[in-house]
Amino acid sequence: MTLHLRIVAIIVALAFFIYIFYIIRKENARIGQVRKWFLLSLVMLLGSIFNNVGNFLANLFGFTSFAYFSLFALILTLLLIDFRFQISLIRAEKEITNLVQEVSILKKRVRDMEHD
Amino acid sequence: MSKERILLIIPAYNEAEGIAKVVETVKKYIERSPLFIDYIVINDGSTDNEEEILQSNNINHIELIQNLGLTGALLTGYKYALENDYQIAVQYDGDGQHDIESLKNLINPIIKGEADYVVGSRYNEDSKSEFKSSTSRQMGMKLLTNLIRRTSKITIKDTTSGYTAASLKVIKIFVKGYQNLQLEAETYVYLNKKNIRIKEVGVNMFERETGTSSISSLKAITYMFTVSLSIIFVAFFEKGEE
Repeated sequence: MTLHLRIVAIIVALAFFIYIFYIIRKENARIGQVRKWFLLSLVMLLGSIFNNVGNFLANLFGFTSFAYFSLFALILTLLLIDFRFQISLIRAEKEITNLVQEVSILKKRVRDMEHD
Repeated sequence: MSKERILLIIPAYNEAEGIAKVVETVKKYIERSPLFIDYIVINDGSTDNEEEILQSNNINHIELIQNLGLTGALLTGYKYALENDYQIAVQYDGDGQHDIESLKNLINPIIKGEADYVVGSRYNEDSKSEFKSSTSRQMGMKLLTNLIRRTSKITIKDTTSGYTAASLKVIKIFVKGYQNLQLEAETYVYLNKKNIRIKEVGVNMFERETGTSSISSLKAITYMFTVSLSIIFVAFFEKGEE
């Protein structure tokens, strides 16, 4: 990794790290809810600072450079996170459907009782 | 006379134009039928004045507080059937496509204990239906019929009929959490996996008078892909009943 790229990577990782903190405070989010993004920003930051460890890992997995390895790891992580979100969305959709059905049936019951 | 309580589930989305006429036909049939039949219209969060029509005509209905799509609307009907002790639930289109006079063909096999789930078909030998689907749609149906036969060893010719009758056993399966009622072909394979006896009987159908089909030509390809994939998935990975 060139010095140029390292500086850019550190700045981006740092900005992302700060942004995650900002979101946690602003949205009053629980750490558990944004844990994966927090960890990702930390890994990005550490990876850009401790370049040698990154190079060692890249060589270990057969990548020619740390930049390729980072890109691969990042895409894989984002895909996994995206998939987890999809699963959560499916669950939430089922729960909402169930709630809409229950409320609508109850509304009918109330209407029938008012008529009687 | 049969003691079974039968419920017609009529999902309707933006059917303000024709729903009153459809229900009127159903009511007339109920009046002269010796069977215990009720109906419930599920207003699937319509954006036209359907709710107004339903209320002003004193039509028994549930108004969904949000649009859920066909499966969500039908499942509301099945939940209502289960909560109100109905033993047979019939899916009946709100657009006037299904002939109420064919109802007895659908429910008889369940009453006689010959089947748990009955599919009304325009393509059965005993169907007098003059209305058939378009050629392209019939080709799609043939493909699905073949896929169902190969994966489940059952033959259903009208894979987009929508005119079905379900016994209490099936109602319970649906309410327990079956989420794909709009993919009818998959439903047959799923129920077959659960050891449900499925029968196809001839019914009469008319061309829709109002509204638009839930499967438009633009969506047809996506529908075929989704339903084929679902059938294969259910046939090979869904846990069967012991």
